[in-house]
Amino acid sequence: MHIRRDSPSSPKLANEAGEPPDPTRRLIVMLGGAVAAAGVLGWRLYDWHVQQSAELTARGASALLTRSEINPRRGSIYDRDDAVLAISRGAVRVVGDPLAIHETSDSFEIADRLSALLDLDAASVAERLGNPSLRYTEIARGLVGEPAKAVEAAILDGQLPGVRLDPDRVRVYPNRTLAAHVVGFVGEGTARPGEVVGQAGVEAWYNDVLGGQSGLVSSDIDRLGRRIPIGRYALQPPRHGAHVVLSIDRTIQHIAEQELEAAIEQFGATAGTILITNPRTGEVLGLANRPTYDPGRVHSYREFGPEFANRACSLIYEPGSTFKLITMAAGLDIGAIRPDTTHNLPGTVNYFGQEFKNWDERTYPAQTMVSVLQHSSNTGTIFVADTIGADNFYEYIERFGFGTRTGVDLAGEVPGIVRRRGDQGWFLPDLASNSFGQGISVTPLQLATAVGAIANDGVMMRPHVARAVTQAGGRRETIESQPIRRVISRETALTLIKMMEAAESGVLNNLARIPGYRTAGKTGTSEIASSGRFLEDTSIASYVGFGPLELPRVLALVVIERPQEAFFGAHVASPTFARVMSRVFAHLRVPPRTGPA
Amino acid sequence: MALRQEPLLRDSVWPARIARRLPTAIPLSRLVLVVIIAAFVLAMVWVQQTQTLVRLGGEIQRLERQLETVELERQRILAELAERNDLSRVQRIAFTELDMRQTRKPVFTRAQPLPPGVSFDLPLWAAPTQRLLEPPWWEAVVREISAHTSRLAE
Repeated sequence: MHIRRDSPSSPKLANEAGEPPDPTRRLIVMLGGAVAAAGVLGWRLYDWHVQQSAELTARGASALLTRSEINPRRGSIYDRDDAVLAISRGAVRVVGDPLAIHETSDSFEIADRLSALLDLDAASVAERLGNPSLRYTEIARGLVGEPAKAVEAAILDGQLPGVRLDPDRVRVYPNRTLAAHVVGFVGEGTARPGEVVGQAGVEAWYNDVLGGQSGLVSSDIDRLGRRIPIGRYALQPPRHGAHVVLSIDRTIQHIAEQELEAAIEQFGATAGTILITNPRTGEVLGLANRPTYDPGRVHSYREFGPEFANRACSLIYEPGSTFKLITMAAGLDIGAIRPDTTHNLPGTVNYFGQEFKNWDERTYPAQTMVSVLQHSSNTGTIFVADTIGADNFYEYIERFGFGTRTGVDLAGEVPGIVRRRGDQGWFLPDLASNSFGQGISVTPLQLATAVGAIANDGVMMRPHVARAVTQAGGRRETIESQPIRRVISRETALTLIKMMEAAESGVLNNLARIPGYRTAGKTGTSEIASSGRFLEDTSIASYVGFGPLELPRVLALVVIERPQEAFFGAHVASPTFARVMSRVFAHLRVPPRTGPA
Repeated sequence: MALRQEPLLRDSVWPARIARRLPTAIPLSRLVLVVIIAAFVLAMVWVQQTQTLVRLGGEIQRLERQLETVELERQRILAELAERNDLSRVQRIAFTELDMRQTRKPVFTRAQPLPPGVSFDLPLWAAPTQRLLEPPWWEAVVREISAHTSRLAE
């Protein structure tokens, strides 16, 4: 039998006396170690759970909890028949990761491909992609249709490493330039990323209505950014923007724009405006300006040029003879004149040291007030203004709303310039020139609103382009028409309309006449002042009229600036008025008086 | 040994009351087992509920995304429809492709008496649908099936 002999120095099995070793010491050491470890652990737990509890809880919560704003959907803009004029739709944004591109491929190559797909300048794309210190750079936004599909296909093919598509929204104006000055356009806001703010027209005026209110979602998310379903979650839903329904009839708008373009081309004019309203309600049915712009491509314009100006309410002009209707209305309403009041209409009259002429410089002896309108006599209108006096004259001008904003729901309206008696720079001869629409500046909308009061039995209605607001939930709130005030009596209005009709029928070769319809109106030819003198051989030709006289439903104002081929409103604006009105009557199914049975 | 004779239960008052209500035949080990099983079942139910909650949460998120997609698609269709209805485009097609001409003199005609319910104030598409003169073929089939079912029921 083999007996194992351990070394006497080994403490493992026995001490020198041959007794087994005492484990107490080891146990104490182990116990001490365990107690120390437990102490450290306990201290750490105490430190975390008691001392740093609040701070760590907050840090943990904030690491999990995210708050993000939910951008509301911008409401759409419709015409009066619910045809879309402006709408927001989903789009994509092309985004690059310059660092990833730098690590995996050549930024110039990617820039070349992207610029070819998106029709962009390759150098600027390369510049944006060539900075590897960035992780995010935007190449293009608001992409829809074919370009977006092409980029998506290239990304899926692996041709564009480091480039991705992010969701985006874009404001679309499907009718392009149609009613551009009414609808307006949008731009980027500064309050939050992705915010869209109206910059002009209805987009600006109703920005709060269309824009809605952003919402807020706070929720716990996991490492990959996904919401944890059983985590904290609070949602304050966004209030999506309401839709605005305009009083604009897109067919009437189209007619106005087409006829305005035709007139500008025919007469070699530089600019123009056609305004079509319903004088009974103040609704604007059509508002066309030239030059114009495409609200969907505003970013492509180098600067905000004259095409962006809404000439109907943001620019002023001297109304010329169309203003004689206002002078005549004041004279009739005060009772200073009657339709059969007769007066010699001299070719030239000297009024407090200043000489005024009739447009043809002819003298018409013993003429009635109807003839004053028929011959568009300046001296006859001076007689009316002089008869009623400056105070009364300017009081009526104020009543008709000149010199103050109409309150139309469009951004950028100006009040015009009216110098009254007592104002600095006003002299007695100004009464004479103002009486036939010179030396006074108005907007086309002011004139249309004032003449609309004559068509509406003397009550002036506030012009407006919105007729309803439809909330995102479907509730529709109608915007009621508002009378501003009665400016002349009903009798005065009816008398003046008869005078206008009689004067129009007395004009030979009246180009404003529409066969089968009774309309009333007035031509205007105003000279253009520049550097203290009137420019020769150029004018602003205009015509304002309404019909059918049985119940005036349509008022049209045509303003053509600087026509080259003709000079007078009767030659330039009258035929345009007739074409516009006959087409509008046909569209509104207003039958002619003497049509086929 | 009966449960109520356990020393542990004897020493306190309220466990003794509980113990008095318990059947004497249930041993303590079995009681513990029951408690463990109950806890396990409850835990399983809790896990199941949590799982359902997670699944529903995911489903809600999916539906929300789907709703957003549908809304975007709706807006895309509306925008494209409006682009196709652009009057300049319609007019161009009418003049160039359909050889139509713009009238300079609209002709108004006296309307014949309109059928009841049809008004010139409404667009044509808004007129009420005319009643069909003959019933559709499926009405006869449905009638036959219902008659056959009635016979079988009898």
